[in-house]
Amino acid sequence: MSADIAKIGGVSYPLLKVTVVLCATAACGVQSACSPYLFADNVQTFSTKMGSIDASYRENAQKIVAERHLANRTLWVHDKPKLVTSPGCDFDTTNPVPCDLMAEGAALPLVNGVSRADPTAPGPDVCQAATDLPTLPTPDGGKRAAHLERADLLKALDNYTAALAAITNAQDRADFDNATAKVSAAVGELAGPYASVAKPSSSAVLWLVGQDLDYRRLHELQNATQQACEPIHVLADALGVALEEQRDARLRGLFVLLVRKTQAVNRARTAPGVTDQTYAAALDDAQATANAFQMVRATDPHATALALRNAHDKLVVAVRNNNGEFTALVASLENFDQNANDLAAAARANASVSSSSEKQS
Amino acid sequence: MAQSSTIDQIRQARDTALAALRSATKAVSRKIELTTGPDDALEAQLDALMEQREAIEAAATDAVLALPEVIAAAAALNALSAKMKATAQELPLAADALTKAAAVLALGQQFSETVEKVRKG
Repeated sequence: MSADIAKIGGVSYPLLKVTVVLCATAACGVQSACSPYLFADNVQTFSTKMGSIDASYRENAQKIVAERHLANRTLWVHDKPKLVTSPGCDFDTTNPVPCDLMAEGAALPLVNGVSRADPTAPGPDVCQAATDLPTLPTPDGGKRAAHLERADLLKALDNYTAALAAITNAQDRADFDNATAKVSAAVGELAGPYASVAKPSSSAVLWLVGQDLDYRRLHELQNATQQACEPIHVLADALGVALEEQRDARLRGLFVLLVRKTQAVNRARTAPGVTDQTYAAALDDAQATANAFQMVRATDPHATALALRNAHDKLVVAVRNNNGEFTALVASLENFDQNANDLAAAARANASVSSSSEKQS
Repeated sequence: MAQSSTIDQIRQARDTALAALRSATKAVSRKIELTTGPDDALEAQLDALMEQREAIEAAATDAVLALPEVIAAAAALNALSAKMKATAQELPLAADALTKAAAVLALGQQFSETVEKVRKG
């Protein structure tokens, strides 16, 4: 290559090339190990598990209703009381009482969250403060909701995990890498006699663009996880209480069912003309309910909430320090995964129990 | 932590109240299990105990969800999530970055070709 043509803006082309590569190396030397795409799988796992808890919560809510219906049916088939529809069977959608059948004169189905106190100032943030991070804007322009519903709690966490996934956007990085390879090859073909210079240079430019893409996403991820640190602590604790409430509702439904099925077994034992087959069926039915009760009883919603909180803490630290704490992060997520799976397993087991009970009632 | 201690206090109060119902629940349920004939009084007792348990649980959860720090945390996380999603859309997408990089490279290519023509011409 001629020295005449290798001048661009007074700078020799080889020198420019070296400068570009050196700048790229210097810039990315700081960033190369901190691509947010490294976290993409973990963030996705976090998001998936959060969705699993949410789905489990909603599934449990359906089962609670189904169990109440089943318990009522068992009682009503026996007692045959007068039935009426509840006050919730009207067009007033703000009525917190659900639409249901009820025995005449019976108490209304209890509704959660009828009265709540007014909020005041938020508590202190114990998560590590990062002085260079922007202050989170006051939610809703300083006007806060009077209270939270249980679904709001899960929705806030779901929104956050979805936002984390949006920030990492691993597919975008994969698309970029694929396209980079194509452009780089195309530039090499077009460059003709300058291919040896143009191709490495284009690769360096594209690499820099790619690293900037990563760095900006990482920066956003660092900011976001840091700002979410304290809210996640508070919401995880609150979620634990809500999950415990739901577990107790499941246990109550199963407990009443179990007592009545056990009673049915004892009745079958002394009733005249009952075959062994009939008695065994009643016994199996009661046993299945007992098993389901034990499965739900063995779950620990508080631990699940703590695992969620710890998993996020690990994510915050790993993203902030980028010092290879992935093992701890993965271990924490596995713990979270185990708890989420426990809830899901209990819900599945209870679903099958409800089905078999309905068939035999 | 202030928030956790408040929530923990509510949980403890709830658990204490629930524990007080435990022995009565067990006694009533056992009688029902062993009773072969209908006993409305026992059934009513069990229902009342279950309703009381439900009320305690609901009251505890409502108290937690009404805590100002919990409400603020949910609002803050929602605001942050909205900001994150908006930011994610503003971040350079691969396609955009690639277009810009390709444009720069094309200019460089044109420049190189011009210089080559000058050299040959």
